[in-house]
Amino acid sequence: MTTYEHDAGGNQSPVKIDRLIHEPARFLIIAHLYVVESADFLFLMRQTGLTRGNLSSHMSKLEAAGYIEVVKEFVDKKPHTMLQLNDEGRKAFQEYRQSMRQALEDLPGG
Amino acid sequence: MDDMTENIDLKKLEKKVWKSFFVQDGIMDIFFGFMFLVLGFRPFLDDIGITGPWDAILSTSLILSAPLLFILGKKFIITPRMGIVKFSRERKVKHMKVVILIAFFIIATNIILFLSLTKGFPRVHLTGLVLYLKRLGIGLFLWGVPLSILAYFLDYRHIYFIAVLGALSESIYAYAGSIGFIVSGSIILIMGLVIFFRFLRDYPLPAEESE
Repeated sequence: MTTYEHDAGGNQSPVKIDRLIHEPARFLIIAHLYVVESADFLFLMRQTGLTRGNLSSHMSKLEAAGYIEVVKEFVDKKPHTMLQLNDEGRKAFQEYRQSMRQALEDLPGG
Repeated sequence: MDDMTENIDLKKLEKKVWKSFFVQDGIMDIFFGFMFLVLGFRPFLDDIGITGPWDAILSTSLILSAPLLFILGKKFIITPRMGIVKFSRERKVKHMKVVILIAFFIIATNIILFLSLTKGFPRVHLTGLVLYLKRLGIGLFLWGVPLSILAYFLDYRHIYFIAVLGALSESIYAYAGSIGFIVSGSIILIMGLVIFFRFLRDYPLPAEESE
């Protein structure tokens, strides 16, 4: 998804919006992971309000894109999966927010 | 969700996540209510024949059981319903400041209690309004200030209310005994139980394992 920004000479150049993050459910997931160190599947389900299947599907896409890491660990001798946003994911999210701000500032009429 | 992509405030989101994990289940209110009730009923142990070392053992056990119940409640009731989260370093640092502040007040309180018991402070006979103001000052020092600071760092407004109840209960101790703590503890406990049962209703155990 592309919008445009203007340089000093009034020339348009495209501002790229990351479509992967732009999807509302995935945006929610990444935003929640951004403000914590890591969280498990159940916690994300509770916070985002997404169903299990929906969350799983979006998580797979984010993992495939290299934005999140899946860390398997033992909690009270039970296997547990923790999800965390890696450096690339954090950077992508920051750039996404920047792009959105820029895109909204460029809208005519304020 | 429609406004989220444009207007999301990450600080507010982090606070919301913190609150949902730490305080929205009512366990903290139940903890304080229980503590107040223990303080309230402790003077009546004599009346039911519990005196001397048994008084101290029972009182100490009840007070120590409150944080234990808090921890067990979080582990076995809350976490299976809410999931597990590890907060950011900034939040952990804020948490540590709370722990240090509470430790400071516990130490300061114990020093003051020790000095008053060993007559390190000059004894002054007070009456009337001055006596009430003295008790209110003690209440503010023991309950009002530390709990207000705790409320600020935990971002949980209920604790301000608990702080006021604690200070008031302490201030009327000279006139009405521990009845203030019994009433306050009952109010706080009922408040906590309402929140807790609402939490259980809103967050049932998940149908499948989270793995």
